[in-house]
Amino acid sequence: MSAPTNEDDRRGELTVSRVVDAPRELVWRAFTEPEHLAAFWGGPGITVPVESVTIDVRPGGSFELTMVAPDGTEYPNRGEYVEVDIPSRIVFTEPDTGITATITFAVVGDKTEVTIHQVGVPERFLGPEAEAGFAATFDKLEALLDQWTDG
Amino acid sequence: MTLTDERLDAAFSALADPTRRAIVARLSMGDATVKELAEPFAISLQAVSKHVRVLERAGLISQRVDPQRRPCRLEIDTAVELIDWITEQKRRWEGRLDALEAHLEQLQAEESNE
Repeated sequence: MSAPTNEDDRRGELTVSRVVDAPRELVWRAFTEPEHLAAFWGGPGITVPVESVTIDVRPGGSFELTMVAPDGTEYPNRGEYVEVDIPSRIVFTEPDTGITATITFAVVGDKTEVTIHQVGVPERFLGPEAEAGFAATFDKLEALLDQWTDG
Repeated sequence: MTLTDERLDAAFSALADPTRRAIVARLSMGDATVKELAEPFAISLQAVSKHVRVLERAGLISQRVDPQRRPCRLEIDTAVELIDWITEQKRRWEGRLDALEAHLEQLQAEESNE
């Protein structure tokens, strides 16, 4: 597990990366076949019924699934594929949240590095000028938060 | 996630303006009156007051009744919520990758047993 960079925080974006012990083709299948996606997409504690998963992995295609919390609450999740580059790259957007995520799969020996770069705020706030502003603001806020934490 | 998407949008929208970001940056170093906030800018007190009101509506700062004399204060809770929101998004992906690793391990174990 590698730590996300502070620079990303300041732009309101985030990057998460992990080297997983599996060949790239298998990791690709995990992200693009319903039975596998259902097994991990919810993360710990949240289940995804395999029958709720539909995947049409091509540019312009979409995926849909339902995440079920331990208390039974259902959270539908829908994404539209923007780019699909087998077996190295997927870009999708979530129309409901405005989030865009890029997932890349890189061969590292006999393992695979999975990197997710997510634009976590609506695109209209992420021009070059806005990014520079976020950087300055988050710098100051982080400094302030550090003070509060230390004090 | 405690901050609603609507409030998150309002906060980021308010911060899209350079003058307002400068005001937030200044307030992160301590409370200041509108007059003090206006000093670095070549704009009127009224214009600064307007920016202050936008930031206030977005929940980023608070201000007492008389804006000319009472200091503005950075609303640390909102700032913390913004940062928390990003942290929560990261946690979601980390959780997915944890589950992915477990699933891949199981798949490969099954394959090698066949």
